[in-house]
Amino acid sequence: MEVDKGKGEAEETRKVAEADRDTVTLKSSDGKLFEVSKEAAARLSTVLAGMIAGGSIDDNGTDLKQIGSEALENVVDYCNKHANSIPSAALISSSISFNTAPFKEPEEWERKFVDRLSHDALFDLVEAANFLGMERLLDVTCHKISEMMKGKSPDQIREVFNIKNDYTKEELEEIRQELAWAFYDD
Amino acid sequence: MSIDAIPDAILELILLRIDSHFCLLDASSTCKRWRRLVADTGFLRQFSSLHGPPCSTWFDITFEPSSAAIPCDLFSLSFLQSIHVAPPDWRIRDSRGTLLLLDRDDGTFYDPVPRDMVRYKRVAPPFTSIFAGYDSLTGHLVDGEAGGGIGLSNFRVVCLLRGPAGHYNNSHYDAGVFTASGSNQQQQPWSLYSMGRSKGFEYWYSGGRKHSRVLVLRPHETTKKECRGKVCLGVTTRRDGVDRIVAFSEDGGSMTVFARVHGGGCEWAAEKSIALSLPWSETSFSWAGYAYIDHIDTARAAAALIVVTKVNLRYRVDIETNEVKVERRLEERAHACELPWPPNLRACTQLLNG
Repeated sequence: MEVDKGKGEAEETRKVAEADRDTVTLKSSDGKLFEVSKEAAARLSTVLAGMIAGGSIDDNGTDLKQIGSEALENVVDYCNKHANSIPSAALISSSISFNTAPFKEPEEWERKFVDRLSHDALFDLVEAANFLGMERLLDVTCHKISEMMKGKSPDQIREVFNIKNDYTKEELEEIRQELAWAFYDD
Repeated sequence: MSIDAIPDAILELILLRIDSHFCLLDASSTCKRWRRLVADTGFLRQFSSLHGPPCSTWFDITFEPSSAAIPCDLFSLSFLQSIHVAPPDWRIRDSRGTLLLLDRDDGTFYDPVPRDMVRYKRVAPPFTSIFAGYDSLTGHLVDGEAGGGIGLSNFRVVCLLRGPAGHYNNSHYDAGVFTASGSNQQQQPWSLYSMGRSKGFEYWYSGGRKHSRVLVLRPHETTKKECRGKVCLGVTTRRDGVDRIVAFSEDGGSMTVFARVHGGGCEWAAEKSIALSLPWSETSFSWAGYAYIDHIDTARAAAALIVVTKVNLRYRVDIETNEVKVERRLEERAHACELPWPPNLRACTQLLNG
């Protein structure tokens, strides 16, 4: 009984210690560890918030098997930058589902944050944001990718994203005719 | 990772954020997967609820000259056909003085033919070979630069050109001029912007920051007038029923009203200048790109309408009383045209959805 009690106390102490810590450690699929502010992680990611609340955060590094180290580094970087920036009114009220609410424009630092990323890194980050339930980061990355199509012809879009044109010539003509009103040179 | 590896659900979020309806349609044409996502009724509904209906397009007034002094259908070319000098597909485009301007359906313009003589010569090769890619909408006979009335050695043909083909804005107009001097001389076409129409006259201008050229077209009239330092012009009518050209000053602080010298000549002179104390003219930015004179509403008497696109406001300036009034909002413009939305995206999606 005494042993058991002692163990319980130890657990209690550990839990308190964990609760006191203000960072969480995340582990990427390739085993790299990253520290991120607990407050920012809980605020920006619904998945991490759930894990923190549910106590399933591992002190030695919470495994995030779906996320590579490069993407996770960007996620952590984003969280840290976010913690340092003054949250705008738009961000505070971001509880509405992004599927129905009009999109909020990315802020200047968020723009810069995604602008420096390569295409591959951007796509990885979009997936990581989706996996971690990071609504705001998903918004910012999707916005960036959609902006890359701005003012481009289908050909140019294919080139930017390296998309294979899987239409036959006849199909393309059919599509053109269907949307004749939308093409300038008709 | 490539975009092909992105799950549909995320790709949908990306496509939803495209902020132009046209761009969405371009994106939907890239490959079958993208098209399938966009063609989905649920997606299109969501896109519409986020972005609203597509922006209305504004159609420019197209060029429709008023009838010639002598309507073209009163002429007959049968005498030409009877002596086998003119093929039957010739049309009379214009008449002025003793000259007729003929052309064929292929856009070739021919030398004006004096009405009492059976004589013609080709002024220009087929239009398309001179201004490649242009459509010729009209040809007008006007007096030559030498003065003293029109004649076989003193005439000009002014053509309104549309294009060039592939120009993104298909309401882009240029003007080209053929002259009598030299067998086949023409000026480089210059870009034209419609200033509006008033009492059968079509007013155009070609703008530069330093010079603007005003072209007033009716079958029997062309005026070119250099207005220095004016970048934005419009035509409007005063209560006296006489047309005026209004122009913004470069700094946006004033508007100059031009009237024809002697009431009806080809020369225009400044009649008055109106100081504008509009909100934007107090700011330091150059407004020239943001404000313009409304081409359509200036047809209403005694007012020039100024539209400030930057703040989405319009002002009506009465050129007689100098009164400035805020107008209704830009979106309510009368000539809006609804685009078909949601678009019909059936091609190449049936099989995939089925």
